[in-house]
Amino acid sequence: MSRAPLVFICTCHGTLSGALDRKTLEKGIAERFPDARVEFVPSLCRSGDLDRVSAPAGLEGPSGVLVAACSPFSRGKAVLDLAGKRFPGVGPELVDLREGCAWVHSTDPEAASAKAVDLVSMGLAAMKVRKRSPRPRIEVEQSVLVVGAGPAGLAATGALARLGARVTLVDRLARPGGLLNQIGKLFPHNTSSEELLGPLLQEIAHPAVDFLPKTQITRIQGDPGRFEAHFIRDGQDVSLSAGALILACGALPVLPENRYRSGELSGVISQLELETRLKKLEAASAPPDFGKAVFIQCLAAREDDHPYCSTICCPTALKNAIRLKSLAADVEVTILHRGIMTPGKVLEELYRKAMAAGVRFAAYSPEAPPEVRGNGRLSSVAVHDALSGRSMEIPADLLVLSTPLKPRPDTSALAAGLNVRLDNIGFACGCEPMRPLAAPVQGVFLCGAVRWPVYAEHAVDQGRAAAVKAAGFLEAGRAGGADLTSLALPGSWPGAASVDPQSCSRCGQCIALCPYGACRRGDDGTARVSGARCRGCGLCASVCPSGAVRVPENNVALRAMLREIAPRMDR
Amino acid sequence: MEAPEKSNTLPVLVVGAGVAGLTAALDLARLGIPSHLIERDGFLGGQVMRLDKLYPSDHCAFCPVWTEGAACSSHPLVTVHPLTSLEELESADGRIAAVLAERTPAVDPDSCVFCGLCRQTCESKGVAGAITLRPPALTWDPSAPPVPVLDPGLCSRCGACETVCPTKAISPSRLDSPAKNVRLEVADVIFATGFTERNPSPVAEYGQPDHPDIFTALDFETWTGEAGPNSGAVKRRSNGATPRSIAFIQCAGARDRRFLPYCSSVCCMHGLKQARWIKRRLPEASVALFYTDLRAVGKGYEGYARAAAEEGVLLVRGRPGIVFSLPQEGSTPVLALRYEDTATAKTLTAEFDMVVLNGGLAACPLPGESRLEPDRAQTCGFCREPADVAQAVVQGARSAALVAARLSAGGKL
Amino acid sequence: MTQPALNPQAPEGRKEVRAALFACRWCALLGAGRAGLDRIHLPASFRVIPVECAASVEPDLVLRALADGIDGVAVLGCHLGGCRHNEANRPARLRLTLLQDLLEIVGLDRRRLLLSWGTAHEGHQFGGLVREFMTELEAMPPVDTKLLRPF
Repeated sequence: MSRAPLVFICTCHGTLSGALDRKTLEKGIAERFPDARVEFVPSLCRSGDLDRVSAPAGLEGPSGVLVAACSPFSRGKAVLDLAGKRFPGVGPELVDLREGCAWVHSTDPEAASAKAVDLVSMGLAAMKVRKRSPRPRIEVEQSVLVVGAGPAGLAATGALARLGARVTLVDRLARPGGLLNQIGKLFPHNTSSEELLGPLLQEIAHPAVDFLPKTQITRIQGDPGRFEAHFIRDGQDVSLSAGALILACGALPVLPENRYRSGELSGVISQLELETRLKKLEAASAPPDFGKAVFIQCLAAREDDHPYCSTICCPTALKNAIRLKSLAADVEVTILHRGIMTPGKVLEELYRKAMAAGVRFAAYSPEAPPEVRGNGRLSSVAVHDALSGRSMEIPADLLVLSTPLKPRPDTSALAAGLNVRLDNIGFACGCEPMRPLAAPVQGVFLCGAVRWPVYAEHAVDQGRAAAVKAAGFLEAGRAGGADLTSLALPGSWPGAASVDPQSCSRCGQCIALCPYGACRRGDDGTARVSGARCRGCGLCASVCPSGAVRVPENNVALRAMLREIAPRMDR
Repeated sequence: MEAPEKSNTLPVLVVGAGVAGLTAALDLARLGIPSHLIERDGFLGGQVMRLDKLYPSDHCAFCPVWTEGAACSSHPLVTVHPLTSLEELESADGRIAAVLAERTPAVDPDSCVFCGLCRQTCESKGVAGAITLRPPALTWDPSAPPVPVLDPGLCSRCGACETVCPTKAISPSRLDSPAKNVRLEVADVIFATGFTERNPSPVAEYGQPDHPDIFTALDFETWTGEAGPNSGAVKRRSNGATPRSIAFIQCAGARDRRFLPYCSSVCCMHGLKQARWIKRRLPEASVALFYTDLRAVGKGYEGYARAAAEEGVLLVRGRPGIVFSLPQEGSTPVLALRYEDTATAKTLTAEFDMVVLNGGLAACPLPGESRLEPDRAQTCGFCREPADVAQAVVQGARSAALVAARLSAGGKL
Repeated sequence: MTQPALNPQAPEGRKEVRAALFACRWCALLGAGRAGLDRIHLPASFRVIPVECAASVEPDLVLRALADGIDGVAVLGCHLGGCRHNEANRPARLRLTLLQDLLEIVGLDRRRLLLSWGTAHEGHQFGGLVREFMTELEAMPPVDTKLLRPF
C-alpha cells in the first residue's frame, strides 16, 4: 500500500484539447513526478464527475490532491469545494490551466502544453513541501472595551449590551456625553442634545455595562481576543482585559487663538461659545443682547497648515444662524464662507431653511480674508464677496468664528500600540473604503470623530455600526475563531508566520515592519509571532536576514515552485 | 456574550446587494442571523461595480467590493437571489411576507464554463451580436466572469447555442419565460435599494441627451474605464478622436428646483476623480470642472481637491447656463458652454470636445416600506440619504445592528 | 546552490526566455485570470506564481531565480495605499527597488526585476505588462551567472 499524489486534469468538456496535448502532459508529469497518478476528467466543476473516478488500485489514500482546472475567479472555487468533499482531510490544491494557460496560448499548443506540464509540476512540488500549520484557535474573551463616552461610544455601548456583550465604557470625564454636553441644539433636526443623549444614557444603564468615568487610558496592548488596557483612575494604575476594542475617543475643537483679533476685541467669540450662549438664551427665552452677527467659516481649516474640511462647521453655523433668527427675527446674521458644505438631502434642506429665514451669505476667497474692524470693541467686518464681486463693510456687534475639530493628541499613542494608521491630519484610519470602522488588527474598531469629524446623529450611527462589527467578532470567537484567521474569504488561509528562535539574530526587522504588530520581542530577545494578530502576508519572512521567520505555507513552497522552472536550480 | 436567539429567527430580507446591502447581510450573518439578499441585477456590488476607480484612494473599485460579495455568496446564512425584485410586502399581525419575482437568466451562471462556443455558433449562423460575453452596460464582476448574455431582441430562438453548449447552461427559450414569484416570511426588512442616475435632459440647458459627446457621469466612467470598451483610453464618442478639452458640469440637475432639489453629495468628489484621471491620461488636454460649492467633505477629500487643482484641473466656480453644439468643422463636432465665472463676474463662452453632466442621482423607491411598522424596516445607503461608499457601508452595518438588537432582545434601540 | 553548469550559450536569435511572475492574489492574479477570460494571446514563456502579498517575495528568492537560469522576475502587487495587508507593499517596494539597484551594481539590467503596483488588475493591463516584459527580456542576453555567484 502506498500513498501517492493524485492529479486531476479538467478537460473542460473537451474544449481544452485544442491547446493542451494529453500525451505531452502525461509524459511530462511522469518524468518529473513518477509517483503521481494523473487522471483526465471532463468537468471538475460538475458535481459527480470526480465521484465516478475510482481510486487507483493499491492506493491507501492520496498523499495530496491537485486539481488542474481553471482560475479561482471563474469556477476554480467550485472545483476546490467538490474535490474537498470527495477527498476529505487532504486539502486539495488548485492549478489554473485554462485561463492561465490554454486560453492565453491557444495559438501555440506546443508551448501551452509544455507550460501546463510546468504548472502542474509547480503545483506538485509546492504540495510536496508545503507544511500545513494548524490554524490558530483564537480565544476571544466575550467582552468589549469602549474608549470614550461621547455619542459614538455611548451608542456603541448600548447596542453591544443589547446584543448580549459585556461592555466596559471608559471616559476621562465624570459626565458622559462628550462634546455634546457643550451643545444645546443639534442639526439637522433641531433636537436638543438632551433628547439625543437621554435615550443613549438609558441604554447604557444596563447590567452588562460597566461605566468608568474619570478614567484616563494610558496604553492598550495585547492581542485580538485579549487586549489589555491600562488606565489611571483616582491616581491609581488600573488594568483590565477585553476581547474587542472600540475606539470612540473623539476629537478636540480648535480654538481661534488670536486670529481675526479674537482675544483682542470684545465681541469676537468661537462657535462653541455661541453654543453656550444660545443654550442659555433659549432656556430663558430671552432675545439676544446683540443685533448684528457675522460668522466667519473655515478658520484654521482648508488652509495649507490645516488642509482639511472639518465637515461639521457649515451645518453648525447654519443651525446657529437659524436659532438666532428664531430668537429674534430682526437679528442680522451674515455668514462669510468659502463654499457652504452641506452635502446630501438633509443638510441642503438646512441651507435652504437658513436662506428662507433671512440669513445672508457672502463668499470670501482665502487670498482676501475678511478684515475685522473695531477699537477695543468689534465694530464691523469688511469683506470682498467673491460671488457678486462687491466689497462691503458689514456692521457687527458679534463675530463668531467657526473652527474645525482636530485629532486628540493622545490618539496617536493609543493608535501606535494597535497598529491603527493615522491620516495626514492625525485622524485614525480604518480599512477604507469597505470597512471604514475596522482597523487592520482584528477586534479593533473605530467610530465617531476619532476617525473624522462627524455630527452627532452620524456618530450615533457609527457607534451602532461599530457595535455590530465588534459583536460579530465576539461571535466568531465563540465559534472557535477559525473565521478570524483569514483576511476576508472563508477557506483561504495563507498560514501564519512562526519563528525559529535558534536562528533568530534578534535584529528586530520583522518587529519593526509587521503591519499587524504580530511580531514582538520575547523575553530572550528573539522574535515571537502572535497567531491572533498575524494574517500571513509574509513580510516578516521576506525581511528576515537569517531565515528564522517563515510562513510554512509560503516560503518553502515558493522555492519549490521556482525550482520547477529554473533550468539550473536543484530539483 | 450570550448566544443570540438563532433557532427560531426568521430570516431578514435585505433589498439590494449594493455595498450597503452586502454589509448589512454579512453583519447579520456574522451574528448568526440568516438573511435573504435580493438583487435586481445579476451581480453583487451595485453601482460601485460600475465605477472604474474610487476616491480618494484612486484604487480600482471592484476588488474591495468583490471580496465582500464573495464572502456574502459563500456564507451559509446568506441566501443570495440575483435577478430578483421585490414585488410586494404584506404585513399583518406582526408577520411580514415578501413576494419576490425571480427572473431566470437565459444562461445559468452556475453551470456556464465560459467556453464561448455558444457565441461562435451564433455568429456562424449569421446572427451578429445576439450573444455577448461582456454586457454592454459594463456590469462586470470579477467574481462572476462574463456569462454570455442573450439579447432578447436579436436572438432568433433557433436553439443552436443550446445544442453546442457542453453544460447545457444556455437556453434561449428562458428569455420568454415569465418571472417566478416566491413568497417568503421574513422577520424584518432592510432596504438598500440605492440610486439610479437620471439624465438631466429635462433641464433645458443641458437638453441634448443624444449628442454623442455629452455624457452622464456614470456613462463617462464606463466609457473611459479600464474595463470599458476603450480599455482605459479616453476617446470622443462622436469620432473616436482624442479630446483636446473636457468640461465637467457639477450639480447638473441637482440643487435645482426644476429637477432634483437636493445635493447628491457624491458628485463633487466623483467629478474631481474623473477630472484627475483624465488629466493623468491626457496631460495635454484642458480639463475644466464647473462647480457651485466644491463639496469635498470627508476623510482625505479636501487634499484630493487641492491635488486636482495642482495637477492642472481648472476649477471654475459657476454653473454653465447653456450647453450647445457649434456648427461642425468638417467631421469634428464641437460643444460650447456659456457660463459666468463668478470669480471674475464675466460671462464667457468656451468650447469643449466632451461634456460630462454630473449630479442627477435619484434614490430608488422602497417598495412597500410604508406598510411596515417603523421598527421593522430599516433603510441604508443612498436610498436613505445620498452617501458615498464609506457612508453607505456604515449605514448598512447600523441597520444590521438595529435589526439584530430588535431580534435578540425583542426591543429596539 | 550546487550546480556548476556553465552558462549555456544562447543560440541564434535568443532561446526562449523564462520569467517568473509573482502575482498578489488580491490584485494581479485577478488580471491574470481576466486575461484568460478575454482570450488575450500572450507569449507562453512566463509562469505565474500566486502569492498572498507582494511583501512575501524574498529578495533572496529573486536572486536565486536569476542565478539559476530565469531571465526575469516580476512582482505584481496592489496599489500603494490599497494593500490588503495594511500597507505591507510599501516596505516591499522599498526593498525590491533596492534590489533593482543591487542588480545594476553587480552588472545586471535592473529591468530583469519588474515591479508593478496596481497596474495589472485588468486583463489588458496584465497582458500589456507581460508582453512588454517578455520583449525586454528577449532583447537581453542570458543572465551572466558569474555576476551572481556571491549570492
